Amino acid sequence: MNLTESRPKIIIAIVVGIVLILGLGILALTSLRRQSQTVQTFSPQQQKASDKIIPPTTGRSPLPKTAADIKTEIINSSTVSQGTDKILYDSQNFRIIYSPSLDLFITQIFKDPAGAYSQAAQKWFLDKGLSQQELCTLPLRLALFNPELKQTNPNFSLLPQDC
Amino acid sequence: MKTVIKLFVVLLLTLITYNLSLITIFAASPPNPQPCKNPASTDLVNNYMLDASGKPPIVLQYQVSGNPEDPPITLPAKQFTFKVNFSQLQAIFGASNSNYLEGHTQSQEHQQEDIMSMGSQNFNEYFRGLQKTVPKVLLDEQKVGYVNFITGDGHTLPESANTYTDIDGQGNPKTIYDLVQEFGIPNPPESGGDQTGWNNVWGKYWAKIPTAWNQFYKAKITFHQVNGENDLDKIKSGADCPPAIPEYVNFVMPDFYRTTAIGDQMNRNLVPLAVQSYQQHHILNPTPTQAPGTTQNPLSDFFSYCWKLITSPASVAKDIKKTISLNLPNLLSLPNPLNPSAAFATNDSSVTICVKILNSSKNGQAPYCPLPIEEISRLAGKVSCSNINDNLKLEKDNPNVDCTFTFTSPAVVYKIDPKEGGALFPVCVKNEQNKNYDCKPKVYIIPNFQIPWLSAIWNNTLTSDKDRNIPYQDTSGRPGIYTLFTPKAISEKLFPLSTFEELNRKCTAGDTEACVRLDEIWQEIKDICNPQPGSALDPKDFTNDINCENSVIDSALPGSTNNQATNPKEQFVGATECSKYFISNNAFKNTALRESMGLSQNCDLTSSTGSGNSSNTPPENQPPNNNNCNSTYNLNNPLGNFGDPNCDFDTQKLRDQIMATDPANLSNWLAIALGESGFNPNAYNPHAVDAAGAWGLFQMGRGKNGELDHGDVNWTLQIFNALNYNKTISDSFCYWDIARQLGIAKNCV
Repeated sequence: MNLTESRPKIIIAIVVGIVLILGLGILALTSLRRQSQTVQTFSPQQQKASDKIIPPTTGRSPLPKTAADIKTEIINSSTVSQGTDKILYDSQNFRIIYSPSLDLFITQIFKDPAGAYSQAAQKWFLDKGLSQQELCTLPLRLALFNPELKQTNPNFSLLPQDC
Repeated sequence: MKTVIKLFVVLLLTLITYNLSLITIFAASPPNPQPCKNPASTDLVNNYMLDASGKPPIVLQYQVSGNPEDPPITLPAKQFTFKVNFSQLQAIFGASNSNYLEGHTQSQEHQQEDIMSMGSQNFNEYFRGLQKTVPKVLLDEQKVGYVNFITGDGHTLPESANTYTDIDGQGNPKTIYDLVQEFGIPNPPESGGDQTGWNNVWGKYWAKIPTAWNQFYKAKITFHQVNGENDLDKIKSGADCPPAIPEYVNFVMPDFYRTTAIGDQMNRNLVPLAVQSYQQHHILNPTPTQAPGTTQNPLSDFFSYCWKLITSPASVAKDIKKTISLNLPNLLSLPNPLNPSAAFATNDSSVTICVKILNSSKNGQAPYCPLPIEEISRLAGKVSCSNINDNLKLEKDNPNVDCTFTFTSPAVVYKIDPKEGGALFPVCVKNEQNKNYDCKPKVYIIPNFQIPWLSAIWNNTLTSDKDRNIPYQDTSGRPGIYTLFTPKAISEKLFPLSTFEELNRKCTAGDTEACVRLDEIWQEIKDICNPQPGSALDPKDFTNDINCENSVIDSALPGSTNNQATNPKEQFVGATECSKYFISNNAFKNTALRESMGLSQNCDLTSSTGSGNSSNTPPENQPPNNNNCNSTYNLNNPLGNFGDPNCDFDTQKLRDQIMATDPANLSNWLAIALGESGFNPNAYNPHAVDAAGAWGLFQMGRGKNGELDHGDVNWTLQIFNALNYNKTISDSFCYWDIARQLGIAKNCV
């Protein structure tokens, strides 16, 4: 058998090989997708939308040690209270409080420009040594203490940047 | 001569009669109140206690390393702590049902009331369902029994010292013992008989005499150990029953016997014999007291949970599944609102747990017994208690109210199993360096509150439910006194859609409510019924374990819950609390009235002491003032400080009030309050959709949508209004824009 005779067979073999590889690939992908569906089936109960804003005090991912230390330091730095809430920072523009019962830092913004004060409040935490991402899980939340500000800030975010 | 003999015989008989009457009088024992002492015993009903997610609340964490081929490892004994505040514990065991049915016969006010001068409304309040429904002859019988008991074995009960004036509220207040000394044992005349003599003696007091006494009964807290995930899975699947460790706590419960007795009296008079779920009615027999430690009670044939497992393993599998997974998680186990951060620290061996408390107005409003002194001696070194003094503590000189128990779980033999916990939550992870498995096995401790009389109360007042270990003579579904007259339409509220097939059929036919319910069930069963992979994608497609799904749906009996995962409710006497108001509100109030009163269409199966405000009673509103609370508030509204005039608002109180009323939606409400007002009870927005402006924490109006649509009130009332208004809109949260934005609102138009 010379090369000329065997060429069509080689071509057929190559085509069959390609088809086989493609088939196996598709099969593998399908299997992976099924696996991911299976995982979904047994995933923990779906988180409520509001849990993202007000995370339950239990079951949170622990903060990195440094961040946890900074958090403790921030909380302990305040001696001013409003009931059980600790006032960490208070100005004419915004106030930062810590709620022990919710384990939540809350920035209450009094006036416009609310967006700028939101940034300023976050910077207050960043200056303490926390990263922007750690503000999400600290957790810090931002709110308009004066609901009239909704008029001028219709897209105001309760979450820190990039959360 | 004959006449003399006759006179002699008469004289002799008279003397004998007189002497016998003296013997009777002298047999009476003077009051010797010993509250909480010498409790009686009866069989106890198990109430396993799990956390809000259905998991055991106490977790002991270990760390070991080795291989499956290695011999078993002994996990050493480990200490855990368990806290019980007995002043709060008793709040859910309250006297609500007995007071509701019999009236406040145990209160001094009731005993010394001037009944004859009462207006009809007060008269109607004074005499409750029992006096109105039970025939006089039976009431008389029970009252005579009461007098006999209180001057006999019951002379050590606190109520033996209660003093009564006559029906005009006149005369020196007298104890039952005094009355017996003065008038002898009561012998009420038959109906139509001569009342004259009677009305000059016992008759003057008879209307005030109770029918049932408030006897103390033993209760117990035991602890059941579950070793690792495999055993926990076995329990959930019904294959095993958690063994108790040797540690236990005895405590004393008031009120339940009285509730049982009154419920039983009414049940036998109201419910036709053929459908009475318990027909023996021996609860009020003249000598119900047993010596401590005996179980000769007529209802001692109650099922014991684990005993039933031995005798009927197949049927109990479903019971266990329901009990462990669904029905009781929140029975006693909501986190202590005073210490939320410590509650349910699931990987901590110390856990703070207390009973569910609805709201501040109900805290500790039921009489309670502190931990018995004998228990302090028996548990020497394992318990420390602090004192709480309030007027509801029955044993005033016992300082052991808020107690912390430190117990030790036994050592456990553990065999390394790489499959434990499954693929997603493996307990053991292979260490590639040393080829060992590093394992973090857990030992779970499940507290079990063993309560007397629970089944009988449940049975008499609500419904019998064989699956829930109600007495063996029962047929499930027999009515109690609260449910007997319930119209079918109301029943559907109380007993929502009955079977999975029915739900599925209705959903397929386009019934949105049925589809929503199916979705809810899916959330519940995916952790319980272990549906096969793939069935998760469409809730309506799962049919692989129809029995399991039906067991979930079946749990919609009064007192259990449809949706434990997201809407924790509880059974218990509390459920009867819901039903009685629910039924009467729906039966006797029209829709407009119900709405204006903010009465829910849903049966909120939560507990209550009943002696306080009901959950439908709004908090009192204080008038606004101009106090800005140390510059906390900028009072830029027409009213001034309307939201926090006492300057006492904080986020913990907000959280606690929501927890007390609608714990399942805690994060929803907090997110709404944060988004609407930044937690500002004095928030005011004049540019709201409502021309009257938006006010307060939840930015509500000034009555445009009814009485509950008011944010221009104190923060406690703001919370009350918001939570109750949401109930009138089917818990949809559609009123709040922020709820729509955050995806909290559902089914909004």
